[in-house]
Amino acid sequence: MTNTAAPTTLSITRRGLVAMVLAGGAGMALASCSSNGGAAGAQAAGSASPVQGGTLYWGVETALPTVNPHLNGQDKATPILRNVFDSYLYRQESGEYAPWLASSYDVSSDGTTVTLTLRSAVTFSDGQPFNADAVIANFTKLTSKGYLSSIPSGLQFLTSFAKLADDKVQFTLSKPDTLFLLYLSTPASTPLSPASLTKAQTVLESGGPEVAGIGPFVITAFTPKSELDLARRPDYAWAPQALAGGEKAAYLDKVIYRTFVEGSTRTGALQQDQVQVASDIQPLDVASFSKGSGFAYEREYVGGLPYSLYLNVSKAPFDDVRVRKAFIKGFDLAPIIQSIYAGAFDQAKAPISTKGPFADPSSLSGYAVDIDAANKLLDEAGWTQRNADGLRSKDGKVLTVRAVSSSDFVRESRDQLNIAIAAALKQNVGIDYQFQIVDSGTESVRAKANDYEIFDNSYGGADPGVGLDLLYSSDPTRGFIARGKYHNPDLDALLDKGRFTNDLAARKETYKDLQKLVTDNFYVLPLYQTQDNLASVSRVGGITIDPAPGQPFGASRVWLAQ
Amino acid sequence: MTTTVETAVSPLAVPLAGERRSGHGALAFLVARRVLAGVLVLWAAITATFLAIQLAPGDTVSLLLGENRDDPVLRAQTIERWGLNQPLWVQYLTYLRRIPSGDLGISYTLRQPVAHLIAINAGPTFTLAAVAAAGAIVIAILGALIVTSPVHWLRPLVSGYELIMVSAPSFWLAIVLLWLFSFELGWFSIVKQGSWQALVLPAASLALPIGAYLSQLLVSGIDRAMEQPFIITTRARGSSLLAARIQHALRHAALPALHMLGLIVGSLLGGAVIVEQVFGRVGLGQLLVDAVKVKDMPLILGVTLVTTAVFVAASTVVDILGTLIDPRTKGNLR
Repeated sequence: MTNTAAPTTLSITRRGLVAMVLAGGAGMALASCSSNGGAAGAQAAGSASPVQGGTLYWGVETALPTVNPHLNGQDKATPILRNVFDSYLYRQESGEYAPWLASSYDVSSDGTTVTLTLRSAVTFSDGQPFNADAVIANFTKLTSKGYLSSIPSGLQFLTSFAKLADDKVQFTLSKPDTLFLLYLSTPASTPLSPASLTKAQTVLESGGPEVAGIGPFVITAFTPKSELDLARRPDYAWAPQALAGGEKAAYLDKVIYRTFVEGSTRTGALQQDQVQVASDIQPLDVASFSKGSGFAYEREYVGGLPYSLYLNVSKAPFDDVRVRKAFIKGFDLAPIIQSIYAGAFDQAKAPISTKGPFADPSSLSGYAVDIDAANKLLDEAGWTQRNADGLRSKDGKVLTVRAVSSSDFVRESRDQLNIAIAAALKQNVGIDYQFQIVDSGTESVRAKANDYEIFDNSYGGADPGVGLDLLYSSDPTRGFIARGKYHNPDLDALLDKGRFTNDLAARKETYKDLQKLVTDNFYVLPLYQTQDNLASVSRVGGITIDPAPGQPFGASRVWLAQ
Repeated sequence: MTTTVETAVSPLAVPLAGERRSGHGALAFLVARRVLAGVLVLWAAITATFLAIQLAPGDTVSLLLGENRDDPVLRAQTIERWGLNQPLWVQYLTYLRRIPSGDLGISYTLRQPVAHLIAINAGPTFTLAAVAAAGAIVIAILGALIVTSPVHWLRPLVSGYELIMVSAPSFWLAIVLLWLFSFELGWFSIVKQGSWQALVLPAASLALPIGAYLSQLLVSGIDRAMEQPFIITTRARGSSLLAARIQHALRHAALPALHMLGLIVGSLLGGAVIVEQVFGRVGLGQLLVDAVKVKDMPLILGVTLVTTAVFVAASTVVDILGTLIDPRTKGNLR
């Protein structure tokens, strides 16, 4: 059986709130840099023995519009959906892939053929067998028109797939796309039972109790954007060896994920033990869970690209590299980050997240503060006049640069951060930086009209290749949010070189060159390293972080002392 | 939606004899007229909402796709899937045509039938609104009786409290109640949806300011009624001051407050948005706000339809109740 794959991309799911969560740095993944409060969850797990049973309430900011893993597309949904949906491959922090539902995988020497050998004796939660036919049924659905599946670029170069044996499936790609392997490791490609795939469209697309997958929990109830109830699957035995030690059913009988969009509500509910774990603790609340508070707090850098400002080079004034350089070197970021976040967030160290193997901090060496040099550059560029407010102008036009941000994405005190940067730029070099917060409709109109000079964004995920394509590529089928409009052939060549190979060492070198290129050209200003965080009451143990994306690995290893 | 306010402000006006209809006839006439008017109101609400969504910045496909809005393949598939390539008037008429059969379409974002989404969200919202309204009435009556009681030193205390409640923004009140009674004292857990504990504080957040407002209305009504000659008559027949207040003055004062309560049903549904967000409750308000952000047309129109219908029904019921409290107003029902 063979099929032609439609090039599919990110989530169709409503991108108002979702997109913000997704794109944003809010959190992609928690991984392994534990902070001040530190590592308490994980350590508690080590120092006491796990307890079987119990119901755990987990408060999250993320509102789930759908729990169909193929369609959801929210980065922050992954740690929740992981409870119910295993993947074919397990991505390790190093960037390599380990077996999971596929007991082994083989990539041809030219990288265009990927063969999965499926693990035997695995069943979906509705009792159906997991085999090549089930995998083919899933990819037939995933590539069908009208099933608006979600993950960026994973299926873009898939041309066909076929069953080789009952336990073998072969995929053929038109290019040796490393993001296909990434796709096989995310919930976006997770196998659903063939019976689920044939349910009524609204039932399948919204997900819920009637849609069966393979995972340590099953869904017992789902209220969109409000609550997801999970129950333990007793016969589950297929956890990834690398992370959970393999073959383990969950400890908890039930897990209830409750959405509280207000950060203070999550904090308060945790303090009263109404929820036992809360994700997305606000910067100001972090101190409540410091050492000795009786709570464990941990945070993890997430993979992908940090929260950054992308400068629009397609028009004045940022078409002039001197102005871009002056903008970037004209203020000192470190004290601003410190005063806004007080240690709850860290300054970004490279254009790629320091989570994972690809960041190159040396790429920012040319970004050192130099206010005199910045002023000189602006003089040279002709912005010599000053108005009554001390702002520079040229031919009567003030040196104004505007970031237009959808209010859905403005979180983690980003407004305060940008306003502080604007104040410093005005004072130091006379640049009028305006951080404009608008509704998502207005943002889409302004973006289309090229009516902005700066695009602020963070893009999470286990592999930076996804975000790099989206934010830098001049290929219209790949650079959907490349609002810097760079159109630089050298940059495009590096994007291809980094994506169309599975050679990890070569990719590291390529991304090093890429980070140098975007900083030599002053295309991007990384601001802070995005992270996930969570806090828990002291009787919770076993919180486990999936190290590649840096997010919690569901609740399957979590237990609750009585 | 027209509450008979003119009746409300002058409950003591004496209608001319002969203008009254028989009780049943008036009621039937009122209901029939209101149903007809209600259908018109619903149509107007849907049409206005439909137009307003079109006028808001941003096209639906872009908002639905968010960051991926420039993906040509996904765009084409999305447009086809939801029929967004049809002319607006076709989309509008198609929607109207489907309403009588109960088909409100499928939500673009939640992928479920709108009728089902409303069904699972309406219960919590209407429960919240009903409990809040009941609480507001109790608060209003108690407050009014205390303020108008002969214990004069209580009056400034209760009036001051009411002034604070009426002035406080509802999200502030919600947060204060949540922190004090759930997070500090631990009396009411908000986590288990559907439990009475999770309902108390959200309902109180809505009921306290509305109750205080209604109480102020009642007080001025009672004060006015107590100055009327019939109170002296009642007292002369041996009725105590308290009995006169409860049996006679309160009843007179209730009418304006009742009509105001009809209008307040609207603000209860609106106020539910903030309360639902603060307390993390499932409900229509939150559903609508999220839908508006991404122009999820079927969901926006569906919620508009249902909430408008409830508002129309509530103001009709209030008018009917008004005639029961004060039979003289039957003449105004035409």
